[in-house]
Amino acid sequence: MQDQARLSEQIRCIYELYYRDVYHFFLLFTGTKSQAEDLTQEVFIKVLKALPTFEKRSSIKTWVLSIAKHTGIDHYRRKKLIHFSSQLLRILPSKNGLPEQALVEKEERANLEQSLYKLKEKYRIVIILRCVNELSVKETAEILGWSEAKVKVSYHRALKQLKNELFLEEGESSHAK
Amino acid sequence: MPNKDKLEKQIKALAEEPDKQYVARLGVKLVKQANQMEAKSRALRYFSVAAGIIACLLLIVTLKLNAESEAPAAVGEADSPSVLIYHTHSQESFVSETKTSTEIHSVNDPQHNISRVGKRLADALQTNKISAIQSPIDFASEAKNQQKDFSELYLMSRENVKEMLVIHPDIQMVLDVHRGSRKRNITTLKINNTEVAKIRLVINNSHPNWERNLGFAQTISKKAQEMYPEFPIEVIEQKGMSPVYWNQDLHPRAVLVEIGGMENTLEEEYASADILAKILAEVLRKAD
Repeated sequence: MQDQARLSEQIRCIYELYYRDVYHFFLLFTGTKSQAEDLTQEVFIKVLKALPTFEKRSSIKTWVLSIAKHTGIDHYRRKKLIHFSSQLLRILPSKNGLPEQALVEKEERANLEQSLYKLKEKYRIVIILRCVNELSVKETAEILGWSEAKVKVSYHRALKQLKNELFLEEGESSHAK
Repeated sequence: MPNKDKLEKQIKALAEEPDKQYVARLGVKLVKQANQMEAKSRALRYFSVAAGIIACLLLIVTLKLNAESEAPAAVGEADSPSVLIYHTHSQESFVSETKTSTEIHSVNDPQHNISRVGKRLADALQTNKISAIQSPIDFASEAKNQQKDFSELYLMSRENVKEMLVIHPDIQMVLDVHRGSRKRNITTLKINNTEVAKIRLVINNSHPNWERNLGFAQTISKKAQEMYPEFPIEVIEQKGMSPVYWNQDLHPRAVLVEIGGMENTLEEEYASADILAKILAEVLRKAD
């Protein structure tokens, strides 16, 4: 009961600790800022509601991120079509008034993003968790409900596939020039 | 694979920071919502307290009517821990455990290490009716798995301490327990002809509120002097790297506890942990 009175303090701390992780997760998962913002909010409201019954044995970080993962997958299934078109809008690079170097960098970035979205959902998630959220193999395994071995293998394969996609993507854009 | 590292870096670079205004707004919104939830549950609690009082009155009346009866035993077990124990250098070990020569500069072991001393300290506190919790994370092996540098251990333990403080809001002492690295003749003391490991408290004096931590360490040291004059606990100040400050900026009663050195045996370490637990229990009782 004592804990109840500190709910606002707890949610404030958890939010401060993990808003970046959750936001980054969604930014790379959906590819758009506005969706990342909406989903981040959705996650923390879920966290707040579940906080009074939270099992204190597990780590908050993996708990929060597994809520994010579920929310992301749900959302993606709900809005597959809208999602796809808004991605395209974002990724089309505008080439006006940029110096050559910045232009190249921007293009590289866009290629990488595009390749990332071409990956299977589970590959994309494992890349985000390991690479962007910098979670350990153990934490990633906990969130995904996989074995640690599966995390390692999937991560390896995901990066490999990403590299292949990237190679194709670069090939295409240089043709276009 | 340097190529892979480069790719990982590029992916990481895609993660742009969220808009500051958005972050602030959402923070406020969450706190507001939490307050509303609290208010609701408070109302519910008042209601249940009132119901409880009525039930109690009825019970007393019934008991009185039934003449003498046994008083219900209501022993309030402390469940929320008040002491947090963790080990940033989780694999610091002892020559006697690893069977290595003293020539080796550092003695580490994934199993037989300082965390056993921490466990003993937690148990001894428990025996003294102080609820303690030891962080289950082996930072050294996590760092190895994540291919992180030894210097990043404090960043890792920092995150864990922050989490623990959120999950267990009643924590009143945060102890990062280490094994020292000085020679045996300096790290060993004799109490009643038994050899025990000497304890030092190391305070980081580079963060703004360090004097609170120093005051806390001195309280422990004074208490030790009172209770066990033959077991002095020395307090030393050291400059420490920003921004981690050995996590001492996270709590006014966070200290680095150094128990013995690598040439001490586990028995000697345990004996000191037992004594320290008694001292800490007294300090906590006084603080209440």
